[in-house]
Amino acid sequence: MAVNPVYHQTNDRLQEELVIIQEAKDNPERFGPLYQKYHEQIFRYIYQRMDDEHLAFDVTSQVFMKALKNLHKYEYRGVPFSSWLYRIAKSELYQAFRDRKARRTVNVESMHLFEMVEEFEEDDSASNKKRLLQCLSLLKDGDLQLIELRYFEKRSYREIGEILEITENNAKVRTFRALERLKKLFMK
Amino acid sequence: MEKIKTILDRKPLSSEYIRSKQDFANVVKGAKGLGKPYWQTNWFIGTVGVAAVAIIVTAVTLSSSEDPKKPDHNQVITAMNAESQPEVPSMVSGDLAQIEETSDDVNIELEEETIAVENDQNVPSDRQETQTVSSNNREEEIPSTTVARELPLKVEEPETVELGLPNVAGVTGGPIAFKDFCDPLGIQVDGGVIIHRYTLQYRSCARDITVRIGGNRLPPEVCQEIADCGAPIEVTFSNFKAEDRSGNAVKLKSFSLVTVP
Repeated sequence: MAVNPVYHQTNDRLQEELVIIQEAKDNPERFGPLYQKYHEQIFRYIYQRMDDEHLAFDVTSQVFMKALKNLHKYEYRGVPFSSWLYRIAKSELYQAFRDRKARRTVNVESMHLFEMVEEFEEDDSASNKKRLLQCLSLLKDGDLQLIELRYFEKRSYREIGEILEITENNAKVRTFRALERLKKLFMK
Repeated sequence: MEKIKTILDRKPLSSEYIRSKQDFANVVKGAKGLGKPYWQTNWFIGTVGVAAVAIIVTAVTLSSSEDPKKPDHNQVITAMNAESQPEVPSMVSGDLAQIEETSDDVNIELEEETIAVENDQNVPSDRQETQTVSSNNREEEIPSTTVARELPLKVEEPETVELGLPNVAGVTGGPIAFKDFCDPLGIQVDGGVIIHRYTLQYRSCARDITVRIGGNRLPPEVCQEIADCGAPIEVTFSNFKAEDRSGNAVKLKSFSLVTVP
């Protein structure tokens, strides 16, 4: 599976990022480079989970405002700054669902469905794909999140672990179990 | 949560388009404008805190004003419970360690009696100082030797014996037949003592009940509830507010009865 190059960075890049964060703590204007670097991936993360484009842009802005506001609380833990942004994004996203501003949505590409049906060793028929779509909408949110992160967004287990604040191994185990549950639903 | 919506092959947005929507100036401005929620602001916490303190102080003040006024030491007449009397000789025997180990109630009563006797006998000034000791730290400040020396005097005190004990139909403690328990005369005390208020505690079949009752009678609801329960129930009468014929406050001992159906 391909690795997200924007997320995975060398130590030097992480240190450069940390310098910018320290500067931005004193002067919010210095946050600009980080905003430009991460805006698109945070937007795509949010837009993947909702159907309203304008609202997705609004929520993305809200994420960066919150990040800037709480930057003094940020502590470097050896993981990319974006994992902190993802956590804020997740929180803002669920706040939008709770406020009923947006509806939880799963965006799937045909290719992803094809890959999953193959994983279940079933025929790549239209009816199977339709059935899989229905099963996805029946999954619990925690499981759906893992499936999305791993199979639709092609993130590594390490990245999934950092976003969900769990270990890489735990991410692996949970994703496997989520897939098993999806398969069980699909086979019914 | 609502049912999840699934979208297949939505038209992807280009990176250029997403970049064109970036507005860092707005984010900086918005971050400056993001205030704390009102419940985290100092004025809100301060207002709520002051209000809470005011409510607690008011509640404490009101509840303490409802308690019977503590009588003057010179007017205190303690009705000794027959059960507690046998403890006196053991303390008189002079074992100071035992005195220190006895319960707070016993210590306070002994001291009150001691003071009453001292006043009658015009004791020297160094002993008079014991009267001014506050109730909170009596045990610490009263020299134990003084207590030991005064104890024999209180046994001879006549007023304690004369007053009698609070009773229901003549029963001052232990089992009581249900028909006697619901005696319409209520709680009686020899010597013309009038009970104005008291606290009643019992555990009925379903719950623990503590109630403050005006007068000296047992409410019919309580009788009914105990009758309905049909099992022996221990009922404790305490915290009496009572006066003698001259209008002086009288302290009465708590007592417990066990109703026999």
